[in-house]
Amino acid sequence: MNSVNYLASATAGGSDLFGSLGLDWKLLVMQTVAFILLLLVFKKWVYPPILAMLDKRDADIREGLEAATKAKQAANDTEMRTMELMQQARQESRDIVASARTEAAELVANARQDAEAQAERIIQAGRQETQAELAKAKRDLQSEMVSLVVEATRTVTAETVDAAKDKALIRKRLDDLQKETV
Amino acid sequence: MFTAFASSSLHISVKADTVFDIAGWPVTNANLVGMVGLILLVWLMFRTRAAVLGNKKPNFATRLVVWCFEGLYNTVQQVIPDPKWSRRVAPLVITMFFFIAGQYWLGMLPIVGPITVGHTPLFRGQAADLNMTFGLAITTIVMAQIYAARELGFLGNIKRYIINPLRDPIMSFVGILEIVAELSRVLSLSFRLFGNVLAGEVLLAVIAYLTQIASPVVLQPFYFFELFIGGIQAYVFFMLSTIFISLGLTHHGGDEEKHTPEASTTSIDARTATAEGVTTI
Repeated sequence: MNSVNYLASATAGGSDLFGSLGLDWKLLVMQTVAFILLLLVFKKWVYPPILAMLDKRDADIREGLEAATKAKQAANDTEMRTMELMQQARQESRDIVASARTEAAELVANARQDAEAQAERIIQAGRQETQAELAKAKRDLQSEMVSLVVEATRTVTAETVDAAKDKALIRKRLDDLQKETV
Repeated sequence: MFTAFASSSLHISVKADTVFDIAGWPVTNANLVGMVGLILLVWLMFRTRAAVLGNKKPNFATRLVVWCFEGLYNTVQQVIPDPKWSRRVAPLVITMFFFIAGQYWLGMLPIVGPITVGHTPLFRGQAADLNMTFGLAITTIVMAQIYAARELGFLGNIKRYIINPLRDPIMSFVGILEIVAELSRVLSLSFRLFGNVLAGEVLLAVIAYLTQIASPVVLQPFYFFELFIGGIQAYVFFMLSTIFISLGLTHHGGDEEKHTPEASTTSIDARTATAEGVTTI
């Protein structure tokens, strides 16, 4: 039962090594032809669609990578452009603020000058008005005084020489007094 | 007539046994499994084709085939950088991988070995038949020569081996060594695969014989081991075939000839070293 036929056929020929190992040219040709037929069938019908699919997938991957690279480049460009615009905007805002400050300072200075000029004009006008009123008051006072002096003189002398002449004399005297005081 | 799962006896034969003849052409037990394997492989690959074309829904097997194909194709492209040649060589070596792996794994089915006709097993792994491995090795080397002749020209390819000894005696001797190397590649490719498959089958048969009724449990790790070895051996055959073909394409020409001689020599040396490294597996 436990017959072990190890290398049983190898001992048959002795010199025919390949034959003892089972090498038979008919079988060899048959199996080689079978394999070549299999290869031709696969090469004709099976591998082309698989290779096409792999090529397409590689192309898709390459396109995806290129698109990703382009998108990354575009994002970098956009970021750079944004940074430039931001910098430009900051510079413009700084310029605007600076010019606004300058204009504001000028406005304030102009307003101050206008206010001062207007105040000066008001003061000047007030002074002129005051002087005019003072002069008018002086004239009124002088006239009143002349009248009073004439009246007092008439009362004292009970005689009126000539009112117009009195007034002229008195006015002359007052003017002399005024000159003396000045 | 049939003795099913006869683990009570251990039948180990190095060569495939003839089951019957057709018009004088022998049909061995390995051929029976081989035919089943061919049919299954053709069906699987056409099913994958249908899935790739969108005619049928992809499943695990088709995805696995596409995944393997892509990995193997990338490997071919790495070994043969010229896209024209890598695309031309890839179908041959990739078919070898699928064919060897399929036949190796099919030879592990429980029906292979135990079912006998008389004392002859009815089924035997196709990869455990030296005719198949020898045929594949011859195909590889012949195709390598054809590719080299197409790339270098007929005389250019001949000049790889036959060099005038008066002009360059050392390279003339190297040329003779190259011829010997080409012949030895046929033997190494075929006998490595044949030996590994046969050893695997012998291992499974011996374990089944020794463990008898406990064999269904005990054999499991060995089956996983053999599944792994099957993939490895198919890949080794694929890799060696690719490297042998690439050596013929770049020996005295090709893309690398356009670079510095040092770079070309280095690349060829690297591939030869890779081939030797794979050979040791």
